[in-house]
Amino acid sequence: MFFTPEIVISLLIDTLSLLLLAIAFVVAVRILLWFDYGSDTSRQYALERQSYLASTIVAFVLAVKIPAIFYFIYTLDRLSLVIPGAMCAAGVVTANEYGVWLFMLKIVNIYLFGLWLVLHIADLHTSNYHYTRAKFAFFLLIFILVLLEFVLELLYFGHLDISQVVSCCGTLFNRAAHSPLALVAAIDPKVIAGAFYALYAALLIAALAKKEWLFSLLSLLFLPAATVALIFFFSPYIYELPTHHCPFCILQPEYHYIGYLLYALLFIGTFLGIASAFWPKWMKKPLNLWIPFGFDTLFVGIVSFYVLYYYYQNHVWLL
Amino acid sequence: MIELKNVSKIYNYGTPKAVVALEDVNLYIGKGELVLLMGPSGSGKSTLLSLIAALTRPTKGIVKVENKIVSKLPDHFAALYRREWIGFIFQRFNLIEELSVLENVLLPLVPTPLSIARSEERGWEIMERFAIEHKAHTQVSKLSGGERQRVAIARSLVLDPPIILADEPTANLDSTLAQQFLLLLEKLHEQGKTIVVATHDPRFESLHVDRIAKVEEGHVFYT
Repeated sequence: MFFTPEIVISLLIDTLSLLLLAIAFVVAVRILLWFDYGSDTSRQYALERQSYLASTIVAFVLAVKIPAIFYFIYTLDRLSLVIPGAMCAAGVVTANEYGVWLFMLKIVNIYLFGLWLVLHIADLHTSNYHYTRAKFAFFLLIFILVLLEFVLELLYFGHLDISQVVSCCGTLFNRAAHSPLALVAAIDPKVIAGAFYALYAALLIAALAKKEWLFSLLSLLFLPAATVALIFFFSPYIYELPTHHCPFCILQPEYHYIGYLLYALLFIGTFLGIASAFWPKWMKKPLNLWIPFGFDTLFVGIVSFYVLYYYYQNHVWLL
Repeated sequence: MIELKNVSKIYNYGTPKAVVALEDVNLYIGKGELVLLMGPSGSGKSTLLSLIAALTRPTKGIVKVENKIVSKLPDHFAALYRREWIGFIFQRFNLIEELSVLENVLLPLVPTPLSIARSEERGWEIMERFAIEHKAHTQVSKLSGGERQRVAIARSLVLDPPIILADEPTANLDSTLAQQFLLLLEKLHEQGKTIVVATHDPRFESLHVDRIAKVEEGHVFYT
């Protein structure tokens, strides 16, 4: 294992987060065992007070951990400077068998953290602790996932070896690569782009029709579809290189850190889109679907701009 | 209107420093009643008022106002409840010394949807009612005890709450001002307000009250 300032900070954030969440975990177990709004015993009053404290701790930690995913990506990107063979975070994340799992888990977790925060806000809007038990039951799942994330992070950073040469993104996202992505890479990029725009059009129709469940389902599909389209269709236009397919190099200064903006738009848009199905029940009013659609539109607009701008400059399509 | 069922309040509950302020209190106060809570210092009167105002929570038991459980309200809802239902006159007035009389009186109106113009109109009305409008722009720290008390009363009534809670309201007043306060309470009682006064001042016994409850060592007895 080796340390860089970024690794130390990442581990410190996650250690502190886990310690704070462990306090809330104890309260969560008590609440699930004994919380009963109808009761007026001293234990119930104590649990109501503790639930407020524990919820505040969890909300704070999760609100920190959501943007911290960008710090983790930044850490991976910085590590590409010390790990031989890595040109960007793509090589670093695949440097050992834990990286991809850790990265995927972190992405799943931020969506779950977001949903927990929505449920927490809904609970604060009720005068009878209506969602308290539900949110602490949900928190138990989140705690297990955060614990798993922490273990994976220790294993991942612990098994990074600077004496071992890793693959660069050019190899990893190549059609000839031996990975599940190679199967996707085999699909004609125009078909991928077509599916991406079709899904975007479907989101527009769902927003117009105010169909929350459909919008939620489409948002769930839009996340992988947009990621795949970004890698196999849009990235060559961003890099202005037909063979360069990488979702991480766009985070680098040469590309004006545009990746951070693109992923933020994609995550916020798809998160709110997915949450729109639960919103009316939890918040007692529907979510304005034009808000997540607005984020999706900004994402689509920016990636499409790169394609059009390239064509305008060079009068040729890359794929 | 106000109902306490098996209410206990133990400060520092579960620690060696636990102090029993109230024990198994049962109390009912009807709408429009004027009730005195009488008892020596430290008997639990102030705690009782704080529980009715949802400023603190019981250790066990239920406090209801208009059949709504207020003792279990989360903080945000407790604040809304106080804004709608309670006017609290504190023993030490709890005014903000740096602000003027008008600003203090307007404070409870800040979180309401009333416009600034309408709020000020309301503030002037209530100050006129308590004859303190001539001091509207005077800083509270420059007022006499009686004037401060009138400001405190005006502030507690500016939202026209149906319940008025007063904690030792005459403790810092001379006998003339105390008498004026008693007359004011009677007037508010006639207007149909529910009033609960915690005091150990015997002058209150001359008031036309509906009931007197004795509070002794955390227990409440009607006389």
